[in-house]
Amino acid sequence: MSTPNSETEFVALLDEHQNIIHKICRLYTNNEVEHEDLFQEISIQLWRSYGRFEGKSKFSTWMYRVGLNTAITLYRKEKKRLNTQPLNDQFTAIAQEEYNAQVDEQMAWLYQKIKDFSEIDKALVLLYLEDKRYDEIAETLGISAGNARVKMNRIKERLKKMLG
Amino acid sequence: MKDLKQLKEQWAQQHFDKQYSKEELNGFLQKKSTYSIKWIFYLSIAEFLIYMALPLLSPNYYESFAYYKSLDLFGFNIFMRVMGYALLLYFMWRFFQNYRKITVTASVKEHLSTILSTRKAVSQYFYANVGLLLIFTLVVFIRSFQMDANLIGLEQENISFLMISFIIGLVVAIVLGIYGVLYYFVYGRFLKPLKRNEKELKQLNP
Repeated sequence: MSTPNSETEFVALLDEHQNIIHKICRLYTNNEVEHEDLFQEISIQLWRSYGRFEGKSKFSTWMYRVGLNTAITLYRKEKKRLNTQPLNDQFTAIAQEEYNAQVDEQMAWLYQKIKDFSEIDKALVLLYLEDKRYDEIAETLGISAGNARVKMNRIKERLKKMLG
Repeated sequence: MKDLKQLKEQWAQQHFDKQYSKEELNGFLQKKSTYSIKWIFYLSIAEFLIYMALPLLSPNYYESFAYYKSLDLFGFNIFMRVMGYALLLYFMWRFFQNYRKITVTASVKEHLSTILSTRKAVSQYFYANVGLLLIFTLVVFIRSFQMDANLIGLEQENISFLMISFIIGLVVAIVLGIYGVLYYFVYGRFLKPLKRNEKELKQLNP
């Protein structure tokens, strides 16, 4: 499966798309330690199954599937809440010059709001906000496209209500 | 925040402080995974090997056979042992099926189903073992009181049947308790992260 070449290639892809994993981690964990743990676990799972990635779908699409599976099913740390600081203090964006405080604030608010959503609903929110097509959502979750549409409409309604 | 469109836009604009370098990412790939299901299969193989090695590990293993023979339970003893192996082989096969099927690249629904099927198989394996152990103990116990001269002798020495039953029952309960605790620590360690998936699977089913 893994050759030195494919490892370099894989790390480059991982680097390029690491924000996808960060989003999943932020959705499914409660603090920085858990965030890092889950990030590592997803990276390991991606690497282990990289040999089976046939390139039929985009690398990023394949990452959602592996990342969500890992977050929903394999990664089950007890909710210790080691650090009760709000998430926005830990993961906010300050990297760029055109740092957008408003985006940061709104995202912190959003993550906080969906913290109590079920694992599947969190996945649906992620796929919705990432603008995934119904067939991609259906494929990732393993449900029919019709069912994906129904679930997505429900999530949209829930988000709308949340936005007031 | 006004609407969903704006929410999507802001979502796309978010940045993360934490950006791992290629060296750090490379380091992650070398780390140990907490992947649980494969370990359940490896454990069952280890258990099978220990089971197979029992006659070699225990010097008095075959002496018990003579005792069962004296109780006219030789055939029953062999039958129960064969059943024990058959049970273990059957569950090893089921664990192997899950081991083969489990992959994080499957859809979320398929992945959840395999995980639930593993949990189910492990708990069935536990109960089947306990059942087998109880049947075996009960049959040997009853037959011992009918045929074992020492036990019959105890009865004649005014030690009541109830008292002996209580002591043997207590010993069986302790053995089952130890088995339960061992099972909990050995398999439970790997099953713990797989809990609570049933609700999520139900949520995916229309």
